[in-house]
Amino acid sequence: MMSGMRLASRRRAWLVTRLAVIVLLVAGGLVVDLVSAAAIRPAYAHAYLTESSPVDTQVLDRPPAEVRLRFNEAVSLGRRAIQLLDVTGKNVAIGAPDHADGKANTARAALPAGLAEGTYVVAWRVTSADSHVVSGAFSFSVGRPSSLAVTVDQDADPAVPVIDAVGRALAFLGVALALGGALFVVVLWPAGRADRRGRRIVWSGLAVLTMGTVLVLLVQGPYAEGTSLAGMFDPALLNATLTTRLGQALLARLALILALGTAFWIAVRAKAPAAPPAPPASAAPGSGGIGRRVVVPGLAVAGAAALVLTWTLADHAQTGIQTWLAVPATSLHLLAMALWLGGLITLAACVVLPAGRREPVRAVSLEPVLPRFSLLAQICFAVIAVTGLYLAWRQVGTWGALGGTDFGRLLLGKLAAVLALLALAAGARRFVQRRGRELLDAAPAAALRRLRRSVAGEAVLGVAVVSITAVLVNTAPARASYAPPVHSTVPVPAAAANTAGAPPGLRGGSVEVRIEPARPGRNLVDIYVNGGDGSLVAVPEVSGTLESQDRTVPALPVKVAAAEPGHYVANSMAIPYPGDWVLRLDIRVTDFDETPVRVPFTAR
Amino acid sequence: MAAGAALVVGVAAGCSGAAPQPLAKPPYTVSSVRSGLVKPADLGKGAVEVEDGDHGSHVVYTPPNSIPTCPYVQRSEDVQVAVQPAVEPVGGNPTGRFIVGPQRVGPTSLPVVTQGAVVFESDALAGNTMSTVTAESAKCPEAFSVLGGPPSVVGDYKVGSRPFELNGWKGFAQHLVHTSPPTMNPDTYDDLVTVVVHKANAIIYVGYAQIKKVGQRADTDQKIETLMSTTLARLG
Repeated sequence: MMSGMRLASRRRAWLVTRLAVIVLLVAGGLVVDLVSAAAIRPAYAHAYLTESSPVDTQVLDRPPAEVRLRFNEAVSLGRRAIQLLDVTGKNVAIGAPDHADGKANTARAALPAGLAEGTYVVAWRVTSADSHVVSGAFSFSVGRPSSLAVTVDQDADPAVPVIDAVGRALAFLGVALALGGALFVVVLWPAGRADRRGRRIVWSGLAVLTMGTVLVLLVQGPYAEGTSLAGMFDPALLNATLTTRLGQALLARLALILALGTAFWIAVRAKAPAAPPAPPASAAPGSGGIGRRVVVPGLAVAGAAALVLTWTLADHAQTGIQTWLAVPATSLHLLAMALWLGGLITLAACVVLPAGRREPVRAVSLEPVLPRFSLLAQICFAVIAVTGLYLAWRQVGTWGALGGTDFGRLLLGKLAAVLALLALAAGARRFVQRRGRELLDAAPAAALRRLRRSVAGEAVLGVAVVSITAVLVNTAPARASYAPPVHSTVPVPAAAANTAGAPPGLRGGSVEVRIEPARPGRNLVDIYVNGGDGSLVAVPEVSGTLESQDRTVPALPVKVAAAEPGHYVANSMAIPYPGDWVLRLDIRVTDFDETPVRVPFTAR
Repeated sequence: MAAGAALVVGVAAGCSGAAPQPLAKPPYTVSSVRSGLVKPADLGKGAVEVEDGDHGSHVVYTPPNSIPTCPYVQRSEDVQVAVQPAVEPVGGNPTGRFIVGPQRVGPTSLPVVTQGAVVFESDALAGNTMSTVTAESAKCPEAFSVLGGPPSVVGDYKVGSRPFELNGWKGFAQHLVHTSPPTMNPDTYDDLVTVVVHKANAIIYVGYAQIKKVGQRADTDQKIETLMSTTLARLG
C-alpha cells in the first residue's frame, strides 16, 4: 500500500517536473530568442514601400511623367496596382501599371501630360511575395497644394479577407486530417485499413483540403484587386492569380491532393483483418508486391513533403530573414502539427471513443495503437516546440511587439492554447505509461472515460490552435507592424537660450518630441519646449521640416500649430517610408532669432 | 510590507473596479441617454450638477439644444472661413444641457463638464447629423482671436482635433486652448476638450474644461478619455 502510494507520488513528481521543464523551455527559449533579436536589424515579411517618385506631400512645378514605386521585395501587380485620384476622389485615367525596367520589386504607371494644378492622391495596392496584399496611399501636388476631400478606402469588400481566412483554415484542418489520419490508419493502427470510420476521416480531410485550396485560389483575385466577392469567378482575375507564386502553389497542391488520394486508395484497398490481434504495421502490406510495399509509401512520403512545401514556399517563410532556415522549419512545424492533430482526431473518433463506450458491435483495441501514437505525439510536440520558438522569434523579434501587435497577441493566445493542450497530452501519456506492462484494454472504465475526455479536449484545443494559426498567417507579422512611438528629448542650444530677449525660462531647457506611431503615413507629433525647471516655455514660433538622413529625399515641410503655451503639435506629419529620418525644428526664440534643433528617429 | 499590502489592495480594487454595467442600450431614449451622462460622483467630492437652461455660465458658448462644432468662433473677428460654432439638429430630441462641476472654479478646483445629447428617431438621421457636425468642426480654424466681449472670452484660441473611438461610439475630440492677453491674465489658461460621439440613434457631447497655470502641461485629453470610458460604458 505504502509502496504504491510512493510510486504514485514519484510518478506525479516526475510528471510535474517534465511539465515544468517544457514550460521553462518554451518560456526560456522565447526569452533568449527575443532578447537576442533586439540587436538584429528588423526584417519584414510583408512588402513595404521603400521609395516613391513623387515623394509623399512633394510639391512639383510641373506634372510628373510617371509614378514610380520601389518595394523591399518582389511584388505582383494587378490592374488596380496604381490609381490616381484627384482632389474630389475621382479616378484620373493613367497608364497600365507594370514593373519599371523589368525589376520585380518596382511598379510604375505613366501619368497624363495635362494634369491640372492641385493635389493628387496615389493609391497603390500590390501583392507581397508571401501572397498577402499590402496597400497605401500618398499625395503630391502640382503647382500648389489644394485641400483634399478624398479618403482612400481600398478594401472594397470586408467579406473577402474573411473568406480567405476561412479557406486557409479549412486547408490547415484538411491537411491535418489527410496526412495525420492517413499515417494513423495505414501505419499506426493495424486494424485501421479495415475501419470505415478511419478511411472516411482521411477522405474527408482530402475533401476539406481541396475545398479550402479552391476557396483561397478563387478569392485571391478579388483580395489582390480590392474588389467584391463577385470577382471570385472572373476569369481575368483567376488568370492573374495563376501567374503568381501563390496561384502556382495552390495548383500544385491540388495535383498533390489527387496523387496522395490515389496512394491512400491503393494502401487501403487490401484490407487488413478488422479485429486484433493484428500483424505489425510493417508487415501489413506484405501481401502486396514491391510496388505497394516500397514505391507507394515512398511516393506518399515525397507527396506529403511536397504538399507541405506548397504552403511554406508561398507564405511568410520565404520572405524576410533566414529564409534558408525558415522554409524547412515552417515545413516541419506544419507537418508535425498535421501528423499529430490528424492522428489525434482519428484516434479519438476511431479508437478511444468506441473503446471508452465498450462498443459491443466492434471490438476496438487500444493495443498497440495508443503507445505508438503516444510516441509519435511526443516527437511531434518536440518538433512543434523547437520550430515554433524559432518561428515566433523570427516573426515577432521584440518583447514590445509581442504585446503591442495583433500578431503578437494572437501568438500569445496560441501559446496559451498549446500549453493547455500539453497539460492534457501529459495526462494521456501518463495513462499509457501506467499501463505499459498491462493490457490497455483491461483498463478500468473510469480511467478510460478520463482518457476519452482528455483526448477529446486535446482535439478541440488542436482545432482552436489551427484556427488561430489561420488568422495568424493572414496577419502582418509583428516585426513589420510594430512601431513603438518615438519619445526623444534634445537640449535647447545654450547660445539660443542666452539670446537677449529669449524667454528667461529657456536656459537649461530642452525640446521634448513624441512621434506616434512613427511609421509611414500620417503621424502625430507633440513638441514640448521645457524650461530648465521642467515647466513649459512659450516661444514665438516653432516650424518643422522632415529630412531623410541620407538626403535622398528633398526636405518635406511639417505643419506645426500651437496648443497650450509651450506645446506645439503637428497633427499629420507624413513619413514617406520606413528608415532613418530627422525632424528639424526651427524654434524662434525672439522676434528675430531662431535656432534649429534636430531630432533623429527611425520610422519602422 | 505596507507598500506591498497597498499594492495588493490596489490591484484587487483595480480588478474588481471594472467598467460599470451598462444602464442603457441602443436604441436610446432621451431618459436612457440622460441616465448615462457624467454625474457629480464621476468628478469627485464637491461636484454639483445644474441644468443650463440658457446661454449662461458654461464654457461651451452655444445654444443649449445644439451640438458644439467650434466653440467661441462666433465671437472672433479674424476668422476667414464661414464656420458655425454649433449645429442645431433636425429630427432629434435633445436632453438639454447639463453642467457638472465645482461651485467655485479655479486652477486647483475640479474641472467643469458641460454635456448633452440628442436622440434621433432613426440611426440614419443620427448618422447624417453626425456627418454634418464632423464636417462643420473640420472647418474650425487652428487659431483665432477674440478681441472684444466679456473678459473671460477675450484672447487667443488654438484648436486641434483628433478622432475619438470608444466602446462603439465614434467621433472626434476637439482640443481648445484659450490664453488671455498677458495684460489681463498672464498666469493661467483654459484647457478645454470637447468630445462629440455617435452611436446608433444618439449623439452625445461632453466638454471638459480646466484652468491650468501657464507652464503646466494640458492634460484634459487624457482626463476626458478616462471619464468617457466610464460614461460610455454606462451607455452601453
